[in-house]
Amino acid sequence: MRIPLSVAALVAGATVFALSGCTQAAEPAVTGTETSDNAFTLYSGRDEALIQPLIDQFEETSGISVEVRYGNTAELGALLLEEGNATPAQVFLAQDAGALGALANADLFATLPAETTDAVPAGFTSTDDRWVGVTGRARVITYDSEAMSAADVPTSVDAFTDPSWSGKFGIAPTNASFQAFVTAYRVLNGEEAADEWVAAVAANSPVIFDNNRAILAAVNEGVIRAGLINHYYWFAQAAETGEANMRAQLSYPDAGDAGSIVNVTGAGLLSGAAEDADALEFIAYLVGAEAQQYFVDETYEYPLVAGIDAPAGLPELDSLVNPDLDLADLDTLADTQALLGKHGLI
Amino acid sequence: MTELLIPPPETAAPRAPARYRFGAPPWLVLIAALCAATAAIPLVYLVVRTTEAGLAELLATLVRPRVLQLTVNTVLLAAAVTLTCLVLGTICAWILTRIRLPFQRTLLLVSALPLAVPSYLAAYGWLVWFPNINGFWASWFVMTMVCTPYVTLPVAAALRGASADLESVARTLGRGPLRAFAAATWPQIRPAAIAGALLVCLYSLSDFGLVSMLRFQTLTWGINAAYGASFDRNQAALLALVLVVLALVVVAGERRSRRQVPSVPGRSTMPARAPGRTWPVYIAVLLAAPVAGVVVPVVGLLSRLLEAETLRAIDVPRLFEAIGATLGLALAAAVVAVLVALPIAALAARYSGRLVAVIEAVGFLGHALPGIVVGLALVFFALAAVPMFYQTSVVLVFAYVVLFMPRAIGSVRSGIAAVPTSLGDVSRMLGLSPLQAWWRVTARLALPGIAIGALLVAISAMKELPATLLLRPTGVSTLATELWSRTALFEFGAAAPYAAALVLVAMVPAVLLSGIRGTAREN
Amino acid sequence: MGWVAIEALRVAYGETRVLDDISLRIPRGSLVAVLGPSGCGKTTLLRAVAGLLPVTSGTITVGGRLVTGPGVQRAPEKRGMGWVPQDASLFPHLTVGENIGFGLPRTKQSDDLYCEPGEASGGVAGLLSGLTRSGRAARRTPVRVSAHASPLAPAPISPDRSNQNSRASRIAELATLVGLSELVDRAPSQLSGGQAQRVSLARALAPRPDLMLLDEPFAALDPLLRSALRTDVAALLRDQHNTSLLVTHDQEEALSLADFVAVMRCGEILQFGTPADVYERPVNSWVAGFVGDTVELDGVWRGGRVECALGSLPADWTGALSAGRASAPVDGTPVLVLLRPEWLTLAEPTTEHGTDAVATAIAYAGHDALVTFALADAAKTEVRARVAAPDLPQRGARVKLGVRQNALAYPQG
Repeated sequence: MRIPLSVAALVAGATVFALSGCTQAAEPAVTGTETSDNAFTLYSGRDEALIQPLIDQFEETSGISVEVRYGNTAELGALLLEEGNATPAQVFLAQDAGALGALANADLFATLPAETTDAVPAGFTSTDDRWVGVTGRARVITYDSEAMSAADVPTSVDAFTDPSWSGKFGIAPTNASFQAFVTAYRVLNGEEAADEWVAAVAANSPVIFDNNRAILAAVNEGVIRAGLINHYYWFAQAAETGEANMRAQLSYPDAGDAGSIVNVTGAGLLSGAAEDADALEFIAYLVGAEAQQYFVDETYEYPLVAGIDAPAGLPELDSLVNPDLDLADLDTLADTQALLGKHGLI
Repeated sequence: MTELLIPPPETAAPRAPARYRFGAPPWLVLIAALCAATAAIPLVYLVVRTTEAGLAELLATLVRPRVLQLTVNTVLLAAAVTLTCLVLGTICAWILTRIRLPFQRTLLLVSALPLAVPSYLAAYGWLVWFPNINGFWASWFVMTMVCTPYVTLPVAAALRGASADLESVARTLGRGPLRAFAAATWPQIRPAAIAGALLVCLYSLSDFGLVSMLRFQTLTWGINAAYGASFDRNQAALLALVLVVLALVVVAGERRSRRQVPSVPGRSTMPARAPGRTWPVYIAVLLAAPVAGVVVPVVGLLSRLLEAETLRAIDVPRLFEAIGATLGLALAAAVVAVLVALPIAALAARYSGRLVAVIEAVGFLGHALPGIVVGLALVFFALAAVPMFYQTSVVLVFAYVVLFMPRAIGSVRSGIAAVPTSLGDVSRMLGLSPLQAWWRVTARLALPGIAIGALLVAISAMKELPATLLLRPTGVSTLATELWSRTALFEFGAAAPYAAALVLVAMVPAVLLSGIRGTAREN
Repeated sequence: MGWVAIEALRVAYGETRVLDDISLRIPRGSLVAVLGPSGCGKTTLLRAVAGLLPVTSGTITVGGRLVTGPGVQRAPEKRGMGWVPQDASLFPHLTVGENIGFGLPRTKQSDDLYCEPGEASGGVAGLLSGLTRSGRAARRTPVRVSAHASPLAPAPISPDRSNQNSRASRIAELATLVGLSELVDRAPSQLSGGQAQRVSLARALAPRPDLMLLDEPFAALDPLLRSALRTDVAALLRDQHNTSLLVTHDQEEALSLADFVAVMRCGEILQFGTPADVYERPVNSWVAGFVGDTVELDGVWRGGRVECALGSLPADWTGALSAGRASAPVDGTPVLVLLRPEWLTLAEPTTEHGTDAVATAIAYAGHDALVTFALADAAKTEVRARVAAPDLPQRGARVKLGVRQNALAYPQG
């Protein structure tokens, strides 16, 4: 057999270059004064199926083309931290405030114009205009409707320290939304109470999951009786399997209970794109009426701007209390993680 | 070959050694070291990140009981899975080669199929049937079922090539069948079995998809949590370094226990015996891994598909685009990984010594790290060194090479080691330069081993998710990323075609693999 | 002057010296055998000459061309040497004809277009065809091979037709030379051990090397085949006027084939000379014992004779052969007396001259036998004599032993 080495190398090289050739190379970050090239790059921690239709709509109305890179929020957050100022992205759309806060802390976000951030009430957006809240996701208790009636579902998360729940409830302590909830508990009830609650829950044999989705699946299969999740996951699964087929049902803790807080999803403008008119237009679009209504109708999330009603069947946003805390405050988050770590949950 | 090698009379000088006694040529060491250095990129990244944290924080993190717990869990799982795969895989290989079962070739092919199923898919499929399972035993079981072919295939090939003379002698000396096998045949197949076990072990150290679904908290779980909830890259890096240390121990252990015995130029192979009335037992053992690793998950996924209310029309062009991207990337990864693995394998096959051991061990590092760590390391590296290739397929293929090169190193190394060095000497004496001799003779004869390496890399690259998500060119989707984006949303109806396509596409190299293993030893 | 000159060659693996100060000259057109026991370094010597392993110091020149020396380490492929390894080492993926033609030069142009005889063309597809059973079978179909291997058949399309033609005819010529012209299309696995070794020889001869290196080429063959093949090979090498270096541990092989024999032990050459020199006048008792059977007796030197159990025998002082003792010793010096068994003669017990002896054991070998005799002296000294079959005594028979040529006397101890 006589194939020169060079041929083999050529095959390898050609394959690689054919692949790279048919895709776009990284775009350099836009710098300088406010510019518009009718295009920008978006890193989306939101799932493609649920956000792409909105992006299509935006492209159509604005004439700006959006290059989207999908991934999960945590990984994209880590990616942006790693990329630093070299990122090809102009906008980051995240599923939780923690990721936005981490990037803001690393000085990767530009300050947003006040007219964009003012649309969202305090408590549901950043305190320093580095990112803006887009939608809200309520913390809920999901329960196995075959094992218990709606009336028996606890109205406060404090119930899960009771021995009757031992080994029967699920939490995802490494998940950002759970940690935000514990932070809220600390702010609402004080450090001492929070410490006691976490210790009691940890001692009550909670079933540990990696994420909310898995908790919901476990409740839906009757593996556990109840779990702490975000409301949104239930609606997503119900849309897939049909509401009538849902064994897991939702219960909203009493207003004022830490278990009822609302987590926000949001968007930030990468610092290299501070002057990018296209990216700014998109972020403004997200907190506009059209996009907010889209989230209500298609993803069952809470709108964060005035004048848009919450999805049917959900308690009004006003009735849920968000404690006076910065959801993205990482120092607070670190304290929460220390608390969870102290009791062996993370 | 063996027919040629009539055993020399007692007084004859020893044949050309399998390894050279004198040192490796510096240029080969240099090239191999450069190739191995690609696998060390994540290590450099991890060290940079870890040192950022400062010593005090490092120590504080390291002594946390949770880190210890994660480490213990990781070691337990890896050890249990490796051991079970070793035993089950060897038994399966023994049945495949020593028992005259009907449809032998099909059975061999079927035992390779679990390779085509990504571990996260297997775990998901099991959860559909048994939502209660979780923790150590569930992770151990499903991971074992998915990983067994890594042992079965090479051991079956080794058994087919092993001389039966020694086992016959052992029997005549009064050993029972099992003890004769252990005393006479096991040493001959041991390197193949150990090499397979190494792949299993590194895989179970680095896997995240399966343990996250089955809720067993290992180091990879901790790493993902550190990135996901705390955005604490330093802690993630520290946990990843713990994985690296575990992997180094494993690789060093493998080198130590490889102990290649010189091949015995036996003339006979063990005749396959008729299974008799026990054949259902044999079939059951053989089919355990394919049923548990392929049938159960795939049927589970299909049942979810039938339950789903959102049965959407399949977006055919998009599906084919994903198949095309998956195949193209996997092919490129396979070719490049083999090219990078070749110098390392050539060095490790022919020379020994501390430096050689270090180079080979470094080449194996990438395999022990979760995809997200390798992905981020390459983001770091690409932006610093080759920004023009960032978010192009070049860097993604490179990541696959870092992650999966060890699979190529192992099989290419044994392929090369099986080629007598005397053939290279003869070629040199006949006027070929070292490279010509290598290409026309050694590489040519090691081709089955090289092809096996390439196929293993291709299969793994097809299934890879976390690094692909981070590094893929914006807008390019593979089957794995499409599957991920749909299962993340409970869209089982929409996910099923991608899952099916992924398993089917990955089956192609798996089937080829069983074919090569079968034919490679026919001479 | 030697055609091949090896001077002060040293090879060491770390601290271990494998070759120590080896010097050897091989006259052009001759066959030199390096004879030594296993592990004496003779294969290392061969590999060092071939350039297959680095030397520590020393020089090697071939035809006046320095191939190994201070700062010079010519690559094996540039030394113009042929190599016949012990196990034949045929390329299992090539046919016999392709093996023979492996080292024949091809022009650069034909190199690119040329498709290995019998191999599927077509780049990667062809490469992969080697992986499948059908692919391998296809490569062995004799039709394609013979088209290339036979000088009469049309050569492949090539810009250098004459080159291809001469290449094909050279393959055919060598296949005929080693008597395997019928087998050029065979795969190596279909050959017997002797056939494989012939192909290996033809392959090494094909590029017309300046020096042939043979590494125990017959050791792996069964005895009958071995002697037949080595006679053939020696004749063939002489006919081709090849300069050859043969390495062997078999003294019969060395003595019968070689023009000169170098006896090696522990990395040193102890003696270099014609086979008769080495056999008849070994430099010391170890060489004597290694190249043939010996009878060793204690004796005392007395003016050109030795007194020993076989009486007073005329003897040659061989101290001059080994270092130091040039002149004959003074009378009365104890010496080691050495004889070859075939130097002993048998006579009727009634004969006047000779030493009385009784045959105690007979090792029969057909053409002759090695007979052990017990002498009548006080120590019942045993000696062995080689006796032609017709003269064989019965066990227990009494004879008178004589000696037909001068004994060899060596310094004691």
